[in-house]
Amino acid sequence: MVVRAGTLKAIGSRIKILVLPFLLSFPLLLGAGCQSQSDTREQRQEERERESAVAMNGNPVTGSSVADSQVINGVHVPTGLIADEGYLLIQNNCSSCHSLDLVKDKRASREGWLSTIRWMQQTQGLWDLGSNEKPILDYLAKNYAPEDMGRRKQLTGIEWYILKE
Amino acid sequence: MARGVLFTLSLAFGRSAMSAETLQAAAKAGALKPDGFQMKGKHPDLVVLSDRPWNVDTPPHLLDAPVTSTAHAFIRNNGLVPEEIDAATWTLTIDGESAVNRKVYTLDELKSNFKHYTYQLQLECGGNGRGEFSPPGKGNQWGNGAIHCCQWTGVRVKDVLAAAGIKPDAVYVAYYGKDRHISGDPKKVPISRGVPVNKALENESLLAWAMNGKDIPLIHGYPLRLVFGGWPASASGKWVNRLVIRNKVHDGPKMTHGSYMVPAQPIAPGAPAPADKDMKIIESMPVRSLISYPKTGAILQNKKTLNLRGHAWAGDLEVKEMHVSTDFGATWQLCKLEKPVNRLAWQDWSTKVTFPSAGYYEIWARATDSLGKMQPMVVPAWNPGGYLNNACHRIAVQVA
Repeated sequence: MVVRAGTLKAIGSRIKILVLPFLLSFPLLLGAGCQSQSDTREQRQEERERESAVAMNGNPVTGSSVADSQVINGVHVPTGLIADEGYLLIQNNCSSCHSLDLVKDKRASREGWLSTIRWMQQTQGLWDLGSNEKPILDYLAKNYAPEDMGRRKQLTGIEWYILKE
Repeated sequence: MARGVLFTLSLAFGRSAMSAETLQAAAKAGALKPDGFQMKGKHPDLVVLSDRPWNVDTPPHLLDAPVTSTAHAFIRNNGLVPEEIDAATWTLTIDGESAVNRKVYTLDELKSNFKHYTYQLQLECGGNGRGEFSPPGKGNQWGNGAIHCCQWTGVRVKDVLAAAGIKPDAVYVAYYGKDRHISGDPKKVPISRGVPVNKALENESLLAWAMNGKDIPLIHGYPLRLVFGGWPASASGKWVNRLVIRNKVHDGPKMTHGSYMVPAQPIAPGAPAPADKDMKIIESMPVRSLISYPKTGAILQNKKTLNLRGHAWAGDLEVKEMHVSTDFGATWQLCKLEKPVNRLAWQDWSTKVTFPSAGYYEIWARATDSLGKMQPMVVPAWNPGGYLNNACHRIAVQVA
């Protein structure tokens, strides 16, 4: 299977996150009727909230050892998001419902991103983003802006091979 | 922890609608269920565009076979795959304002009450080719492979509708399915689309339970789905348990807010999306073709000729002619083109080209439909949803 880089990284982190808490919470699971997923997701959410708190202080990358260790070459490895100011807000508000690939593969102007957010709010059950809306839009419009490809772009990414027939 | 557990339990027991606040709390508690589908059984070179919901593209060279195998069939979902399907207790309900009688059939009753038909039908995502639009269109950035032409077996939609009775004021036939909304909200319908009555009454419009001779795989709509060949594949609902005969254009989710619509009049690239009243719902898909052999990137050693083949299709129409160009559209060579095995199946084409010298070439493929419309060489009319890019398929070749 060819998986985009971001997905692969996200899957890798998901495995790590799933295994550890599962072991830790084993005695509790017996009592809770095998709610392993909610346990692990709860734990992940706690991590998110810690990271998010840092992000909301306006110091997303350098202020947190959690975030720091997961950012390589400007990319937040577990999510594949560009680790610019506000990326944790994207993780927290977008990945609950859908794959972050839908964010990373999309390119839009600020107006385009806003229109997508409004569409999700009107039809898909996205909540009011409140004071997070501006930093979210700032992040998306800056880091996932469209490039002009003209009417048709060159063929790119070709893997050359010798044809045998 | 307790909050998450309780919430998951309440979901499991089917507690009613969630408000946005509850949903947000659920998301924060991490209680939203993931989609359990795995890519097992799919070719490893398919390209995953998204895993929640699942959207998976097929590289064109994997579409070489005349009938697309399940392993190579692209996946397009708006919601999450339903869980715990029991075909033995599955029912299909037919109702709606324009149904004379409400009918309910089990799968066995569908199979025994109505005549079976098998057709090879092309299904293409309305957004196939979206990745080439500039500015980008909204949605999954598909390459060229959101098309398959599988063999479908089932009963005719028209036979089932006739059993319920269609009132004279009927306008649209729409579906509801068992897929779940990606937000996890059990009251939200991820997608409910349909087709005008005339399309539903065509011979090739099926309620199908078999794909390529076997039970439809879960990801493709097990145990029952619609197949409306030649139209945006989103009209061909999966996991279908209800058909409604409407007395107006259906207004389910993904029938409004610009979904599967293009501007009624062309607009400039990047212009604001018109209101729905100034848009038209996509119906028959435009003419299109693929080069399925060879795979792009071929280097020819010690020869200057190359065999080419692929498929061409044209929505509700037939493909009349197929051409290829090796000189960037300056001249075009006519290809051998087969008739479709049945109406709404794609058509196989083949040819052999000769290159005048060593160098870098591109093969461009261009189909012409029965009304004379051709694939454009550049990306066609820009639209906010990034639909209907049928620009000619191109592969790169080097003659060494």
